Amino acid sequence: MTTVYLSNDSFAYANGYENVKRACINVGFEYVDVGSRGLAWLEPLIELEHGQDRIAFGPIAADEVTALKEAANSAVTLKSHPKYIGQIEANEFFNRQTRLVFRNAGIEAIGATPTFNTLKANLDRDPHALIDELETSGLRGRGGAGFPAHIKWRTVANTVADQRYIVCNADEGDSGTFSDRMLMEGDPMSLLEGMAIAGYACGASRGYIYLRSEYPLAHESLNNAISISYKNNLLGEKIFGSEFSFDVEVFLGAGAYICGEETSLLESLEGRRGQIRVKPPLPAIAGLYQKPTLVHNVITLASVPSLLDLGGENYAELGIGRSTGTIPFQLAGNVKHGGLIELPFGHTVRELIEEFGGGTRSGRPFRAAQIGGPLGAYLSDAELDTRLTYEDMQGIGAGIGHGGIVVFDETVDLREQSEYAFEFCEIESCGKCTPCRIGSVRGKELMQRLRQSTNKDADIQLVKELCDVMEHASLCQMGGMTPIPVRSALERFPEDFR
Amino acid sequence: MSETELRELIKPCLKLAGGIIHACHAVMDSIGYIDRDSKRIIADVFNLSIAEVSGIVSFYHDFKTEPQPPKQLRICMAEACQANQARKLVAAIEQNLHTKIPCHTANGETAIGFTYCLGICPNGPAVTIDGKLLANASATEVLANL
Repeated sequence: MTTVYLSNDSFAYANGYENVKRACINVGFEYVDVGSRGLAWLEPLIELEHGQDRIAFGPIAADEVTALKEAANSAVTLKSHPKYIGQIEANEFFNRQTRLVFRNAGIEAIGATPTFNTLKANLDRDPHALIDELETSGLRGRGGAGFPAHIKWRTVANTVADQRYIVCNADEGDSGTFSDRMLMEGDPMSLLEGMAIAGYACGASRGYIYLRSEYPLAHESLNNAISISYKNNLLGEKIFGSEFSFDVEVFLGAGAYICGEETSLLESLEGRRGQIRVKPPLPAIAGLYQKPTLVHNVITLASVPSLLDLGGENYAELGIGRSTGTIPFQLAGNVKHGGLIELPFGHTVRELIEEFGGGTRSGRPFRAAQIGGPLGAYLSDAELDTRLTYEDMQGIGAGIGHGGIVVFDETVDLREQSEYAFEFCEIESCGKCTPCRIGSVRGKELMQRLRQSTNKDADIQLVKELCDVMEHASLCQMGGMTPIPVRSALERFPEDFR
Repeated sequence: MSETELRELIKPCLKLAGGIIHACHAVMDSIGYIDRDSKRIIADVFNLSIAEVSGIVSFYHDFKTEPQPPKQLRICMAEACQANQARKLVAAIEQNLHTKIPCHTANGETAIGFTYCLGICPNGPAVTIDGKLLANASATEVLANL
């Protein structure tokens, strides 16, 4: 019996996974569902066990599975299969990466070996020593703001309370980002382990995962992983026979981009409209139900087990300056080879787009890249040699955000994209503050008017002033950062507004 | 669904964090929309006013207050899909159906709307048809599924 590992990630589902799975069963393959390796253009990806190796084929179609079965016994005939890729570990998109957060994704079935080895190894340590190690590592929040993680952890741990919470922000709404989804679908155990470690370090006994409703497969996968964890005493009462108990449940959002903002998320999690709260108090002091709450993005929490295994000092060796460790970049949009690219900070945008991505998918010349989601800056070719670190990006008025890079070819119209930036803010504004609620509408109208305005200079000036008001007077980053894509477009692509 | 059944359906949500959102999901899943009667019952179970429940229901895009067509087509309009010509896809569908999206098809069978990021951003344009993801969607393929 030949064993095949079939990606059942959303990438694979969207490209015909179900038919391929049926074909695998029909030809008598022993198939194992695994997460994605992150080579999105090769999905559905199938890996065939051949001796000690796994040989990959993709994108595999259902009618190509029979030929795979016939070729399965000989290395020579395998190579002649039209979808032959070879070993993923040898693929140049994969072998130049540093996989820490994604070290397990795509390797084995979820929960095949349910062990929280890192948690187990750290349960006899002083919680404060754990937080010290986090500080040494220099880990910063991967959700977008890049705030040093250890400060949040220490604040939660040191705030006197009868109950503390760990809340995982899995409301990954930024366009061009999918690392949270891939991790939750492919390796949810690492997220649960990271949450449990955070719970131990901060003195919290309860965790929530706030998941966006657009991710039904991640929902299923998380619930499956939680149930496996409880069965194996990795969650629940007295974990590994220690005094530490930790519970996790998934909360399903209901379609609201703003709930990715941490205070909106907490409002929603308490069962209200997801309108933002004025800070202070910070959630780390008074968060969920006014209790100290550690709110972190999926990738931040899932980074913790591999970080501790490596050791804080070794982790800090990766990356550049204050941007330490690795970050899973997500290459998307009009690019030939898109997908997940986990790298230490410090590579340039051009390396990602050209060397990993292989240029545009359409074959037309590159024109712009948007970094860090809908609230991120548009870059032109002139900025592509900027290094991907928090500091370098800030230097050009951009941000890494959640690590998404969306590539556009020459057909993009930056006036249209700026109109969309305002429109998206209009659709998703929580409505609490005026600059965001009204400013977004006025911005969209101005951008529409610019199509055939008789006084473009005055209108552009007005847009700039509106951007100033939104940036300085909005209560949260939704209204405060919507000017970033607009200003960057105006500055770098002025011809599109003429 | 009778009032008693609806009450039984949502009562377990009382014990959960953000229980009212769970309750709204449960009503959407079993009835398909949240009308005034359902809001009244949710309000009663959670000891809130109908106005408060209406405020919650109207905030979230997933919650609908009117009956929905049996089929749902959602087209991703976020930047990564735009980079892969989602705007052209929308224009082609609109031209074929002689309508503007969001809309219902003439036979009332399908609701067509927009969504913002389905998480398969290198494989755009992305759509979902009754919740099922489709990558690299073409107008022909989408229209054939309506």
